[in-house]
Amino acid sequence: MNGLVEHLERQLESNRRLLQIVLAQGEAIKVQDVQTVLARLADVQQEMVKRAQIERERDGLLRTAAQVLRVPADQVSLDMLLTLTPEPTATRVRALSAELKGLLAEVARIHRQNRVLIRQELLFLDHLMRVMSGAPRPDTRPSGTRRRPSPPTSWTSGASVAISTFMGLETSLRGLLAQQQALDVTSHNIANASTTGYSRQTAVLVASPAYAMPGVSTAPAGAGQLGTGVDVAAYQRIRDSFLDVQYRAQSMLQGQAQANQDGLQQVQLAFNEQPTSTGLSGLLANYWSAWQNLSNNPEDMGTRQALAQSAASLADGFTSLSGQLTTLQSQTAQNVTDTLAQANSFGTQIAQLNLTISKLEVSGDTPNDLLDQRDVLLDKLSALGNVSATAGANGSVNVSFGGASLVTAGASSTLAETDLTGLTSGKLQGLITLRDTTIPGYQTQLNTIASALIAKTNTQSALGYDLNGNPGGAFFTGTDASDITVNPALISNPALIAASASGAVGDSGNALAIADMQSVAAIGSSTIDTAYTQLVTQIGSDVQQSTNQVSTTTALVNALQNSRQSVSGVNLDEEMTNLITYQRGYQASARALSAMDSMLDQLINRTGRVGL
Amino acid sequence: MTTRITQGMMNQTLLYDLQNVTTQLSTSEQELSSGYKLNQPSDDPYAASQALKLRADLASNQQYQGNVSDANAWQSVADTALGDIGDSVQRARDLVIQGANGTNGSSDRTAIVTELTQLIDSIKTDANTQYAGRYIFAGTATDTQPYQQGSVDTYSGNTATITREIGAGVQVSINQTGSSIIGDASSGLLATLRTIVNDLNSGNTDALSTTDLNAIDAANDSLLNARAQVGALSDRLTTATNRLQQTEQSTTQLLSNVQDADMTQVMVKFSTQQAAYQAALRAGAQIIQPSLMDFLTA
Repeated sequence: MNGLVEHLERQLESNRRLLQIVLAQGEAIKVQDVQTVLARLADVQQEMVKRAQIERERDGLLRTAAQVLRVPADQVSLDMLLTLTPEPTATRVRALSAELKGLLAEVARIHRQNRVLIRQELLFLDHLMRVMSGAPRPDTRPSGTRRRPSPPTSWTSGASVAISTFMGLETSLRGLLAQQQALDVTSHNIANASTTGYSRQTAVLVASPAYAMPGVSTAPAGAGQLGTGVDVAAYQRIRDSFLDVQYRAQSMLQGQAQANQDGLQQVQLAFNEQPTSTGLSGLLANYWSAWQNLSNNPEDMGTRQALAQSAASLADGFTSLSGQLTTLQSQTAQNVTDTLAQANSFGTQIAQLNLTISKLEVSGDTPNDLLDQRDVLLDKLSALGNVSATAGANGSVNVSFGGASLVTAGASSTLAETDLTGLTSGKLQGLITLRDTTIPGYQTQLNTIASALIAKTNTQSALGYDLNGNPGGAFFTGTDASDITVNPALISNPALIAASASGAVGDSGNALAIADMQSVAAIGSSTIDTAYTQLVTQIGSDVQQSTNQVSTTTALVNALQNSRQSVSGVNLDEEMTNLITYQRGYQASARALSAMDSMLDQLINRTGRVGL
Repeated sequence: MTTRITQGMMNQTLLYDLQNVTTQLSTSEQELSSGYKLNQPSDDPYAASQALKLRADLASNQQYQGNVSDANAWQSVADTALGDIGDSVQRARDLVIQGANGTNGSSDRTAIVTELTQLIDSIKTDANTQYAGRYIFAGTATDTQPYQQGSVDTYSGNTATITREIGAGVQVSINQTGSSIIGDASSGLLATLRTIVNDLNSGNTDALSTTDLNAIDAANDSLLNARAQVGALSDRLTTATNRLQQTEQSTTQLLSNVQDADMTQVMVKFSTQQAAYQAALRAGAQIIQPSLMDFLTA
């Protein structure tokens, strides 16, 4: 029998092409790629045209055999044909024939499956159209019964299985990819365990959309959903925005208390009232003592010189303290400017982040790490003043600082101090209070004390007489703490100090009267000493109060930071556990893949040969 | 659900606690090294206000003690001078009694007059006594010598008082003027002695034995009275010194209570804090390190 082997080989070739086409078609149907489905259909028709030639060839072969065997052409079997074929060609033909039978069955199976899929799609479209148009279902099923939900019915019957042999491979691949992504996220978390403001992330794993199968053998009730594996739905940032609000509110108070404490401590240091090194209180004591000494020795030039010197020291003490307060005030003013510039810079950075975040959000991404960076900036900003952050369009935030709008989406304003009409707290408010109220307040009190000292001493001095018997002149010049000095004439000639009440050189009544001013009310009901003590006590208790505020707010900020960490922080044990979980998941998916592979190997390479 | 604890939280809590313990340690350390528990007014504002007042009180107290000691020195100089004057007056009285004896010849009386004249100069010298360059019996004209040697007996000082403050608002007068002690040409001891000299020169023994003797006795009494005043003032000054010293002691004690650290207490506190610090460090070193990673094998 000539040409039989060649014919069978052409048959096999054609059918292999067919199988490729229908498989491709099936894939296209699954992803609902209409263009490809139609293209493959054209391929099938083209192949059918080619097959017409092969069929004619087959008919010819059969007719030839029928004439030889003297039987009708339609009764010629393979065995009959083989009697006409000598060995070893017969064995070859038998093998080719078996392969062809198997191939044909497979092509038929895939083709059938494709048709089922298409029908299913059409049914769904039909259903959709009816639902949309409000028409009732055409079938007789009572309303309320539904298709069976997942998990799908087990596909055991060969006749009803209409899925790809390779679907399991796909499922395993999804598993591998998803576990790998989850591992990446875990690594990201571990890498950022110490990053400031980092919020831990999780890969949200969800079952991928199930493959809906209408029941083929027991339609319509036998329909089911075949799971297709796992997908990473999102990378989620774990964060509690309520804690952020609480944290920022406390951080604001902490910033204010801290600024207050820093400033007040410097004021306290300037006053230098310590047991070992006394400030103005020691100078005042020396001053009064010097007047007492003068009252003991009014004639003695050395005593007078000593008084002039201790009075000069006291005056220097006042002017230097006043100068230090002025310096502190101007430093605080500079600090206000710097802090405001810092706030504006944070605003610019937030606006830039807003722009980037919006772009990514619009394209459907969630830029977790950028959100973290923006939250860190908001945290920093909130330490400077009262911040209100509201969600804007496309994931941006609008920020108002001190009652003025700082950031609107991608645009930031440069705020001036006059813009901050609603500033209530924070470092900036603390600094402004120091600059405008606290330090000037101390300055005023110090000036009141110095003015009283100048006025009272000079008044008393004018009532007395100097060593030459002339009426006393001014002891101090200047008007307040900033410019108090001892009358230069007295420094160069201490004889001019008006110690005498009568003009007699041994009379020290006026010196004693001035010395006694130590215990006479000079400012309201306070003496100069007690007024100064009150000022020091007030500063001391202001510092103490601010220190208490700092420690209270710090403890609260710390507690809230812990709460945030509890939610958002990276726990390395947890991450290591996740690492193991995902690693094992990856290994298991890989094992499933290799199981599938060996199964296919069994199916494709080890099953017995079909036909011949 | 239990609170989720992260390594970050543990680190943060450890740092916060270490910071707190370190701050406490630093405070205790400062108290130990300075010896004061009140290093800044803010450590205890009320105590700081008390300490300032007590320190001012202490300074005043020491000043008053200085004033008292100055007054005392003044009194002691005055007392010596008055004692010398008293001796001179006693000698003058003896001479008056001697001169009143009618058996004295003119040469005897001349000798008595000579001695009396020297006594007058001696008394005036005593009245010109200086303390620290000041004439103590010249009133407030302390730079003016009250009496001139020789026959002129004018008092050149004034009668103003010199006072010392020996306590808050407590002033004492410490000076006696020459005019009140020895008088001048017209009255007082000097006038009496000049009369006696005249009576001796004129041989008026009657006057010598009667009016002159009475006058010199009266002058002596007034002198004794002045010395008694000096003694009384010295007593008062001694009392004042005692009082001031007691006040100083109690003020110092109060100030110490307010600002000084109780070393025993601070040492105990310091040791406790140190133990807590070391425990925190040790716990930190052991808690922070291990994680699941240490127990996983590759």
